[in-house]
Amino acid sequence: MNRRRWLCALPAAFTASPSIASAAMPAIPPTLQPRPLRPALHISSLRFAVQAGPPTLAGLGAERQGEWPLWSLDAPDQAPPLMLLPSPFGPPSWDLAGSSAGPAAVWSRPGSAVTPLWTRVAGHDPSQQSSEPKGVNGGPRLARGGRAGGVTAVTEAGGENRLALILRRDTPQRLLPDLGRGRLIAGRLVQHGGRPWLFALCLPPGARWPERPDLAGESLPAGVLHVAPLDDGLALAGAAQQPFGDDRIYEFDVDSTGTALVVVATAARGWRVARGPDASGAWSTTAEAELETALLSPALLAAGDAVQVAMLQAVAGSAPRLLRGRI
Amino acid sequence: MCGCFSSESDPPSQAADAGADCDADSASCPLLGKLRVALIDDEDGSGISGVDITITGPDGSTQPTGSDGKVVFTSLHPGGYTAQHGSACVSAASGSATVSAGATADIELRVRHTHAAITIKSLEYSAHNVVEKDTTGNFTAPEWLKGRAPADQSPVAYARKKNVAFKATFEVTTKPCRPETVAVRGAAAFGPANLEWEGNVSVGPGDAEVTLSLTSKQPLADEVGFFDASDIGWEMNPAARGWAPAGTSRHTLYVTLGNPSGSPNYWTLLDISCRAAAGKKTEDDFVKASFTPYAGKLGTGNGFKRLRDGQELTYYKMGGSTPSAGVFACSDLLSRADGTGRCGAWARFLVAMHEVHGVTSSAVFGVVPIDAPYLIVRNCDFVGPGKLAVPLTHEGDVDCKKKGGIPGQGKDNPQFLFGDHALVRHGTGIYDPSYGVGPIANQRLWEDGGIAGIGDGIVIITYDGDRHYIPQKCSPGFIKFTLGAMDTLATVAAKFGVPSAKDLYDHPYNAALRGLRAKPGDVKPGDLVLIPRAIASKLTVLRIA
Repeated sequence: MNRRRWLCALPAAFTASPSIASAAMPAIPPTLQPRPLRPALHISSLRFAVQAGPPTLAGLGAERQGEWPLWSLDAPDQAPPLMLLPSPFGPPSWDLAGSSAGPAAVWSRPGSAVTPLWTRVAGHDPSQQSSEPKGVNGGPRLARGGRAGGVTAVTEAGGENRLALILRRDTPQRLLPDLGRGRLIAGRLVQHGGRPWLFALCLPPGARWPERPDLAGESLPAGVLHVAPLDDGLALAGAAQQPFGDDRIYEFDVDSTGTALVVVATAARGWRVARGPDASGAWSTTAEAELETALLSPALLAAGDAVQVAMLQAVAGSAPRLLRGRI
Repeated sequence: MCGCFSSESDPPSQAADAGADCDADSASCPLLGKLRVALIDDEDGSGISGVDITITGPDGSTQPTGSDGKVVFTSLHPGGYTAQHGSACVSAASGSATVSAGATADIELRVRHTHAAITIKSLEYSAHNVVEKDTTGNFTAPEWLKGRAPADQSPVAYARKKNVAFKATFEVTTKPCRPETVAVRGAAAFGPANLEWEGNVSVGPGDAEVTLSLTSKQPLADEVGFFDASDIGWEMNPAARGWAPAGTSRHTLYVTLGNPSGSPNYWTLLDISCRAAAGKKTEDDFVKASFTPYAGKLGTGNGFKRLRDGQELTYYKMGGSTPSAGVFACSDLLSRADGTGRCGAWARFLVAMHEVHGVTSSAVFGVVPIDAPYLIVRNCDFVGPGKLAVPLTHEGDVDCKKKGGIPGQGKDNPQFLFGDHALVRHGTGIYDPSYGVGPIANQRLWEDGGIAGIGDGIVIITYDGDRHYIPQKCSPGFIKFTLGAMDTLATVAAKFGVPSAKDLYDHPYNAALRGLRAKPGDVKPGDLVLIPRAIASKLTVLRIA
């Protein structure tokens, strides 16, 4: 759906403004504030994790002998890393959550033939996923929300990328619905309004946008974000929507405030926010808050209406800048 | 004006008063004559009705022909007359005659109808296997369009023995004056198969283009094929008046062993396989022949080119700094801007290449070292006996030195150290697409060709401008074997192809065993024996994961 069609789909209160932002949504996202980030850590990606206390913003640091430290960016400078993620043949993609035993991470450990998932609770040995050890499982994300549980990962199946739900206690590994909008880049499952919502970033057919390097040397393609509700059996329970229309984004993160799903996304020149769906099923979005250099690894955590956002800003010839704020 | 109508003006011919100022029935016209003009279809002798005939001479007039194709001009002053028609629908014709008083002169105009002329404009294929443009979406119809640049025409794929069908649209270059049936035929040679298409299409005076569905009368040959410049020569035959050229269409046609199954019908995969396996009729022959290009694409700058954008496809293009996400699937190779992938991507690329031909019996399998975390790809030098404790006796980058390695797809020195490696099995053959090797009869032969050793720990080095890894400690290869109740060193030696029990016992790797047991015959169940790869012809140091 293009922007004009989005405009038509939005309720009148949202469309009173020349922009498509609603009264509850600024026309552009708020300004994020630079926060201290030790250059020596060489942080390349961010994730929020909910601990017993306040949320923790964690970052993946530089490799040391095949292991990648996860640092708490809210901890004092002298604090040790939360844990080390062994991944000798390249940077892991990862996610972090709190657990009763402490921070727990899931990460992909790239080999040459396969990318198995590993898990680790701080202070314990890492363990490899037992299911589908021969598979390709990239971009693991912990499913947000109580009943959803588990981890999603981008899995190669039949020559195509599919989003799989794995490591969920009561469910064997299974492929999630294909939203059918091009090649899958990344995905995440979020529990909201009593049902899981599937977010999928897909490369649309046709001309490609330029890829963007991230801070770990990976290459990020630009895709279109799709979302669809699922039923309890994880089958499609409604039509897929495109929160940002046909606009391309590079990375995204999403969470539920309890009353809405909130998405942050990095785009060509900055970042954007989407919030929805409203009672009519529509999404409201901001325009792009533009910055001089690329934004990377957006992270988002909602605790009720308080939504924290963090991302990294690439700085040529220098360490990246950490930006944080609330939306 | 009065009419001096002829008594011969019997219907249906038209009778026309040319202008004499008299009455036809009066006696005042004896000095006038008549001119009868017949417009005849020269192809069948029939009269052509409804066409204006103009006469010039002492008098002038224009009148249409009647249903029999004739018109009679009356009350003409004697003299020479010329008649001609005013229709663009028939060929030009004129005739002359002299009109005499009281007589009827005749002019016969023999003409030919203007028939339709058509030329091929576009082809929209059907019953084919739509080609996918290397992860950017399917090629769309029409697959061939007149005037479009050759590089922009869409390739087409059919399984062998299939008939080629399409909707053919022809541009009407000459419009007929009346609807008529135009026969159409096309002919092309696709390897040993000569295909012909025939059909009829009605062309009316108002048609700018016409379309008909055609299916080849003959099937494609019973073999894989690749045709990048095959012309279909088109001919037309309007109203059965004779065949004439109707243009040429040029096509890239891939003929596959079977219909695709399990993988999108990727363009680059079709192109590699159909070119290499053209003429093959069996699955085994196809698999072997289609692999042959892999051996010719090794080394930097030599790699396969992705057809949609010309990007070179490579194996570990950045050495140890090769990206680690999105580099494991066939679609990754075809999607990534840099076109690089790890062995998993190349193995799946090969399997997908088989699948676009309907060959589904190929499978990716992984191998991992049995008794060490990492395997080392050739080539490296193990200098001397090594200074570290057995069995990982050599130190990485000290007395285990990397040398110029086996080239991989599009890369001179790809990755050197692995925790695993992906291969492909088809039938009894092993294929290693990353290094262009195969088919190989067994794993040991593959290891001899590609594996330098095994190791533990990682040291980062720079080689050939890229970051690489080498083990901290390494060995040319071994496995650990614990003797069972029925084992002797002789049975173990025989099992692994070691010449004798003494060779095994005396090897430096088994110093600990010698310290425990005074002679080969003293070994006991539970003893640990190291089987060195260097003296064990039947040993593999990797296992299938």
